[in-house]
Amino acid sequence: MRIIACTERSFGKLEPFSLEMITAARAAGATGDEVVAFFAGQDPEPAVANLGAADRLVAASAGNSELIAAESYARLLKDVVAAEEPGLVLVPYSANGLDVAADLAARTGWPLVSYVNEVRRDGDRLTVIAQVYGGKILAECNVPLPAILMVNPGAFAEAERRTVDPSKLQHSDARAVVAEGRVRLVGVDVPNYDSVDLTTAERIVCVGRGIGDEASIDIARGLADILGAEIAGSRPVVDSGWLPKVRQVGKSGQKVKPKLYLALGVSGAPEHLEGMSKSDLIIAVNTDPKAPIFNVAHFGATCDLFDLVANLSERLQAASDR
Amino acid sequence: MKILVVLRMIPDSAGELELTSDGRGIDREWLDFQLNDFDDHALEEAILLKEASGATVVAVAIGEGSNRVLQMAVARGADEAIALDAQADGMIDSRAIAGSIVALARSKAADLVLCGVQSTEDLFGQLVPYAGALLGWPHVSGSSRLGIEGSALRVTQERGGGIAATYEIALPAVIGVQTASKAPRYVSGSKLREASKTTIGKARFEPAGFERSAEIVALRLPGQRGTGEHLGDNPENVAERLAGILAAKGFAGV
Amino acid sequence: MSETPVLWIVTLAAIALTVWRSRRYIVALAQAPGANRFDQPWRRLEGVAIAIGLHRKLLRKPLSGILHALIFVSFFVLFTVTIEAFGSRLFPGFSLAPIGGDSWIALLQDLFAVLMLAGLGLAVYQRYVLKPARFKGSSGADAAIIYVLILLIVSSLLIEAGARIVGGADGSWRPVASLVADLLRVLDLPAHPAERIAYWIHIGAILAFLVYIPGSKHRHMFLAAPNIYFRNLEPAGTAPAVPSERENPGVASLVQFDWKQQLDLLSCTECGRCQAVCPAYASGLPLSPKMLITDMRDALANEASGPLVGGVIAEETLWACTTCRACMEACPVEIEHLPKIIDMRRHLVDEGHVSPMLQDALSNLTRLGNSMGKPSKMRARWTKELGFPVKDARSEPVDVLWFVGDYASYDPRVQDVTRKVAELLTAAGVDFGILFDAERNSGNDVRRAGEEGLFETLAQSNIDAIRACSFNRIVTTDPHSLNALKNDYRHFGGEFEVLHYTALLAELVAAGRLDIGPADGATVTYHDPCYLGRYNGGFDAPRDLIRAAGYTLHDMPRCRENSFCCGAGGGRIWQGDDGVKERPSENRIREALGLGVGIFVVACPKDKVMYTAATDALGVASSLRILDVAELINLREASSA
Ligand SMILES: Cc1cc2nc3c(=O)[nH]c(=O)nc-3n(C[C@H](O)[C@H](O)[C@H](O)COP(=O)(O)OP(=O)(O)OC[C@H]3O[C@@H](n4cnc5c(N)ncnc54)[C@H](O)[C@@H]3O)c2cc1C
Ligand code: SF4
Ligand code: SF4
Repeated sequence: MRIIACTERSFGKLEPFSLEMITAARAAGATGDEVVAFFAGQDPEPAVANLGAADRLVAASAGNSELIAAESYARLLKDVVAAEEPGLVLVPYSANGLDVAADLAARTGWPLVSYVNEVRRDGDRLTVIAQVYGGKILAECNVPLPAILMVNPGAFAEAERRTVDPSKLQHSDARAVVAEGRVRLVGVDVPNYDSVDLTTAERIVCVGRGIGDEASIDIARGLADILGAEIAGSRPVVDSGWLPKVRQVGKSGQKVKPKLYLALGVSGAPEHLEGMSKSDLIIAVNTDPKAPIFNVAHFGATCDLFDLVANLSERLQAASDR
Repeated sequence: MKILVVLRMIPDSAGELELTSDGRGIDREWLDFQLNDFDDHALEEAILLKEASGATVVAVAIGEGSNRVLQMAVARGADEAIALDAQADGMIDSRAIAGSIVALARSKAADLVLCGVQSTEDLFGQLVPYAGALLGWPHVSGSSRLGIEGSALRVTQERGGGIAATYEIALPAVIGVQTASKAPRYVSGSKLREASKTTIGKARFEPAGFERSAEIVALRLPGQRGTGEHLGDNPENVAERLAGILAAKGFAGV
Repeated sequence: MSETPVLWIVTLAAIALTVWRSRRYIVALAQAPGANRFDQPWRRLEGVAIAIGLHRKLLRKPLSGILHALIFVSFFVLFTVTIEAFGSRLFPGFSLAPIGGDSWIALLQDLFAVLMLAGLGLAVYQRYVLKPARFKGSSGADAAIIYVLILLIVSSLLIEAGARIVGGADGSWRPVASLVADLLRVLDLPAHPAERIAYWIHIGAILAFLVYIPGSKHRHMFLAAPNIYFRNLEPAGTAPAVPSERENPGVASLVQFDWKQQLDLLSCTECGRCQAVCPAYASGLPLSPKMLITDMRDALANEASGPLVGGVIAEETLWACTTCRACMEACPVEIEHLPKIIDMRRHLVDEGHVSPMLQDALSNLTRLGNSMGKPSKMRARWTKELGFPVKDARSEPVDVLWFVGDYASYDPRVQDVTRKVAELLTAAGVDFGILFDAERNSGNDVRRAGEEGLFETLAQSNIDAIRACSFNRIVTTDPHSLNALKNDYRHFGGEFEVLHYTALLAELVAAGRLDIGPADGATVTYHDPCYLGRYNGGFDAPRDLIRAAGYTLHDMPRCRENSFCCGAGGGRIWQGDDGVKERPSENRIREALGLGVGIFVVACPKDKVMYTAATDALGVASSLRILDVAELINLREASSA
């Protein structure tokens, strides 16, 4: 069987989840299956330089705009699917993938499962585990082949980065297809990081009154910097003027939903939880084992936050220096 | 211009989900249902377009509590309200309802279909690309701003990491709204009470015509919230474990 | 020319000018929508007598009260001078002499002229030396002009009488005027011209006063009594119903206010008592109940004042109010601030002008019946951790139907209190049950946030659920629910016997049904919740319970009717605190810290939340514990177990 793994680039770089699609394809494949990476976008150079783990790369370069509209991507993919006749197509769950996966499913009539975390192949039977209800429930699904899967980034490890052997590269010019598109890209805005918007932050380190005083905030800020996280505070911390109001999380502050929320010395009053309990991963550090923050935390530790931060910062720093 | 906006009722995100005894569905008896938040934004965007360019808005709702939500839509400015009988009382599967939405878009001669970019029950794919592809109309998901310029739509799409792309699209089209250009407005209880007199039309389920689909074998609950793992009180050990967890989830050490 | 026609001309001219200056107000009142304030004349009169005759509220501020009483009584006595002055010239031959105008009346006039001056002196001292903050924003020029006019009136009448004595009149009944006469003699002024000049100054000042009044806060001399007479006799806790003839729920312009609401505006004395007690004002928010009234009053006089809501009165001003009712309690002329605020909020809500946080809460209430966005099915979750089942009042008859309320049901900080109340009721053998997920937010604060439609929906749903049960009395945990069920639901035909859990517990203690192991007499303080105390008179039951539990009560400086709001009411708990310089709850905790007690007792779930957060914020959680009254009560069996 042939499996197509869809890949993307963004601002000159290959999206890391592209490599994960290849790992997922291998996981879904049986021995002898062929994994074909599909790429569409401006200049396939980063794809060529990294996707060597796939058996082949089919790349369509789509001219000089930084982004390619999903409409064009889907159209190019459909042509490749028609030509390659794969048994499975893996699409990443991305802004682009959201428009591509079901579009292809509608045009081919193939089954589709979204938000896939795990795949299992048993002869010609494919079973997947996917998230529903925002991850509150996992669904085990039977998928008749040929089929399409929309795979969660982060669910599979990245495949090894290798250059694609020129003999395994099939390259075409897709500018004509893009020009025919009915969705015309007119501009791209790159965020300006001067003003903080916690609501869109992906990682947050939040300090509560347990931080003790203003000067100690810097210790937490150090950890936040290492993690690439925004620093935030509970209401008492903001009240004390240790952090500006835009960094307050909670009922009367910002409602946040980051991928990582690290709460240091926050007790977890309902007004605080209201602003952050939907975060994907919550880690809480609080000396009081009865602190209600532990009711929402995925991981909790009851040690002194200063000891922990010092220790953790050191480890993470060392790891990234390596 | 005529806008068809799709409103799906989904289990309240704050509620606790429990599985049915056969393990293939969630127990809906004890759940509150609410309008899919993205669909709420889609409705707002439709009303904003109506206010800006005099469009007509047809709201179609699916699921438990449709009537209530349709009344709300009318109170907010929708011109017509239709309850779609989705037949099944389980998940609102966007792949399954796409056929009905396509049929309604055609029968109502809509120029624009708006709905939320996702719903929590989108296991088998999202409504926007399904409807777009079946109608043969262009579609864009994840809009955060929508405007009409001449006969074309101008859509700003959130692409994650704060990056936003802007497209121009000729109508007819299907757009998946992530956030409306302005936060959904508040409708007062007295306007809701007034709107409770609206007549609500009915639409029949139309199959989308897919012959093969994936099927759920079993559902299960992942590790529950609130039963999070305790890492202990030794800072050294905790730091070691956390460094590992952070690295495994891709937050550090890359 | 003879003086008579001259006086006729100036008097009539002054009266005409006064009417002309009042015309806008007269027209506004005449055209205003109706209000039914004509019932129960005796009760109304009694209120006027107490408010004015006894100066009940005025005397709460002793200095102001006394000086006002001096001026007020002197004014009546000196009115005889005015009658004499005008009567004798307008109708030649008129005189008060036959009834004592030259004897005992003269004596009184003399004495009260001095008392008037004393009152005036105190007023000047208060305003210019003491400068209380409540006068901030009141018109200083207005007060000064009045002081000068009163001074002119009183001194001219003394000089006139003195000059008459110099001219040979009998001074034996006029000791003060006689002294003035001595002074005039020393100055060697010719008696007759002096008398005439003083007379005309007196007449001029009185007419000037008359003409001046329509544009001045001293309208209250005429309007205070009627305004008090026509006061609202409904229970304090009943929010104004939307009149059926009103098209939209709210009020968007002054002309939509009924005549009594407009009369309120004209009656304000600018005394600032309301401002002095307002928690919103104290916290630095842009709301002064005094200025709310005077701004609207000025807009009534000025056609070009722009839109009322969002113009004359800013949206932030309206949202700042906690509906604590302290202003109305303080107002000596019974001005109704809250109905106006609620009516204008109704307009804002109807237009969809609500802040994002408030919108969240209201949407949650619409969808789930609670403001927190929690599933309605989880409302009775707190019962799970009780050692015994709680009856479902929907399926079996109970003696007491317990309406638990949102915070007591859902907030983990309050759930312990709720369970404690359940244990106390069980220990006392009370047959009680709850509504489980059929209960909705009572709507008390929804209504006061101006969301009348949603309030109706919530109220109707609760009334239906309650009516379907068989019970004798309703008890509520939350004073806010107490208020809605007891007072507001009457507008929808729901008339129930409702009491607060502190009242029920006090009743059980008095009946000896709770076996309390008393504490060691430690001193605690207690916060009167607005909706229990000021709104519904529940001052004593919580205090009785505190004592019964074995504690000594040290009342807060601001207690009972003067209690200071925690800042949560009227939907404020659902809004941000942008612009707040000091949260009312923290102001209150600072007040308590000054008492040196270790426990701050509350009797309202929202207070438990607000004050716990306040002690967190001030970092005093370990030295001042926030405990509910129920938590103080220690049962003997429980303590031995
Ligand atoms: C209407 C309203 C709105 C509110 N809005 C918000 C809001 O938007 N956001 C918000 O955060 N709060 C809000 N609050 C306040 C809220 O109720 C709490 O008071 C607040 O969240 C407590 O903040 P905290 O956890 O930082 O402080 P605390 O409750 O004082 O907790 C400090 C914690 O630090 C721990 N600690 C101390 N030292 C250490 C150490 N060395 N190492 C580890 N742990 C330590 C302690 O065990 C404790 O649990 C609101 C309250 C109300 C009433
Ligand atoms: S009710 Fe309370 S908060 Fe509102 S204006 Fe009056 S005193 Fe101020
Ligand atoms: S409203 Fe009442 S209390 Fe307030 S200033 Fe006017 S008269 Fe005084």
